[in-house]
Amino acid sequence: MHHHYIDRFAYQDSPIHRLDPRAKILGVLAYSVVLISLGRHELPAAWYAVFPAILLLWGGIPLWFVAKHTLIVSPFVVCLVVFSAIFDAEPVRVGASLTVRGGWVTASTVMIRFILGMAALIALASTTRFPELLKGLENLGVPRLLVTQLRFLYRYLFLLADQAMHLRQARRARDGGRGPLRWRWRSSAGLIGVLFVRTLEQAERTHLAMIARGYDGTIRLTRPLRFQDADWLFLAATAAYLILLRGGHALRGLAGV
Amino acid sequence: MAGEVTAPDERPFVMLAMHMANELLTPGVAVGFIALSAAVLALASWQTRVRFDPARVPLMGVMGAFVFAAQMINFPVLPGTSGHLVGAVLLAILLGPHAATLVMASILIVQCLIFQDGGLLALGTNILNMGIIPCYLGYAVFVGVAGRQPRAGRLYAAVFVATMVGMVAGAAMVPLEVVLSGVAAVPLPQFLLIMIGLHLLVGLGEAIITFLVVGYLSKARPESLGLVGERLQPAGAGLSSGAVLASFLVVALLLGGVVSLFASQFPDALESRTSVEDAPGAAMVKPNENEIIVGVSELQERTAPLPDYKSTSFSGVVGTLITLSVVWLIGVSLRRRRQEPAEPARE
Repeated sequence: MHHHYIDRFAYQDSPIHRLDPRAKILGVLAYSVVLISLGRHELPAAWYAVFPAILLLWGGIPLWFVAKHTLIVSPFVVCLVVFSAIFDAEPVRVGASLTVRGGWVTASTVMIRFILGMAALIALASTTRFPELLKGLENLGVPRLLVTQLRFLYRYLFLLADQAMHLRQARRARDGGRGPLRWRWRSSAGLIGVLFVRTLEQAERTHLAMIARGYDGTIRLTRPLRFQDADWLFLAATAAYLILLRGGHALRGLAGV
Repeated sequence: MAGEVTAPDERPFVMLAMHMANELLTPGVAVGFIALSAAVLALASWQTRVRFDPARVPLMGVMGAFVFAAQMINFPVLPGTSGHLVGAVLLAILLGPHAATLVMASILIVQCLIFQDGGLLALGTNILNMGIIPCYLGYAVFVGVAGRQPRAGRLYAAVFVATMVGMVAGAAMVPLEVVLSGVAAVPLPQFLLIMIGLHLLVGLGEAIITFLVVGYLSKARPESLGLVGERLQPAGAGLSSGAVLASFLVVALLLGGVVSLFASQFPDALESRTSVEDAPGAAMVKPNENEIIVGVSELQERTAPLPDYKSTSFSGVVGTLITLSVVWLIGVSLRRRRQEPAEPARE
């Protein structure tokens, strides 16, 4: 298992990739808040797709990748939304003359917003290298201990995943993926135990190696974060866009009264 | 244990995860739970710093990676379906609740940021449901049942009860949060029963695998169980088949209870409907003749996926089952597709 398996697109280069992680985190966060602040019978206008679309297209992230990832994480939301559509029979007026079951309106708006929100999150994750994303989170006030923790997790994720795959492969070579259920459960537990012991030893070695290199609790990036003009521009444009989106609703509401 | 459809040599395709999405929450609820989880995490990191040897900090980070890797080792549950460890209660037993909560929180953050499992704003609820509650509650129950030096039987009972309570309580939070937000109009009792029922099964698998791992470690590396202040010294950890059978029985009974509770939710609706139609004069409820209402209910019957069933909770159950099986089928077909391309050769 290699780094490019999940976040290979983060190592491309584009104007979006070059933005400061803090700007992107704040932008995506604000966009998500605006998305979920819509009412449950309120469908997002087409303009809502502009933000993720710009990030993804300009960042050079293929849309099939976004679609695949969204599909993979969608089952829970889909189940809930269908469940809700069946129970919510409240009539809701859509447009001038059409009246529909409220549940279906909720289902469609939640699904559309889910897809948009996922697209924005994927845009953030696949245009920002994870170590820089963490640096951004740290500078935005996420506690040091948690960030350090995340950093170690990321660093060792691929190493231990490799080990897990080796263990699994070795078992497969021995049992051919067959055998009584009881035996397979016991062997899975054994593999997890072995992995745990190896993890402990790995952590010990890592710690010694880090102390030997002068680790004092902070990790220094070779590229320190700097907020540049482009980042301010991005934040300002995002803020203006979101205010227009929400403000547009409010204005139309006033006009309706 | 989480249910899923997997390819034997691929990253598990998680099917039964309960990661909340942003869109099921309202901003107020999302921010409230983020504040709550942040407060607990602050407490946990303070406690960790007090209790944990600072040299152990890298250990905690690597433990997060361990849980991810351990989730790749799957075991069969049903044909085409396999489960993997969730790990919250196991971590709580091995590292203590404070450190375990921090590790689980970091896992959930990575799942959100790298795998996009669960939304950014839903992190508060997800950390509470899958980190804080299973770790703290599970650990409390474990310590309460296991005592100082548990024998195998008592250790198994402790792991079993702790895992069940931790996982089911966490899962039961999901309906509460969804209903509190009120975005998806789901009736609380039915949703609660579905989540509890599903996670009784999930908890059973998780309990067995957690016990087997703790048992293995107590034999192979007893000192690794003493990472927390209090040293856990289980005396022998062979699992008797009687213990497993007993736990299956307990789960079956609990499930039976849940199912009958569930069943009691809808027959009255069905029966009252038929009795009104049989004896129109004795109708307690007068049908509403308002034009709009009649129109809407006609429309509703035309658009409803299961128009024959007037009882919404029954069609709700059936609808959910249909959705689940469609999702399952999609998973199986994805699995087939994933099996075909061989892993790219390594350089």
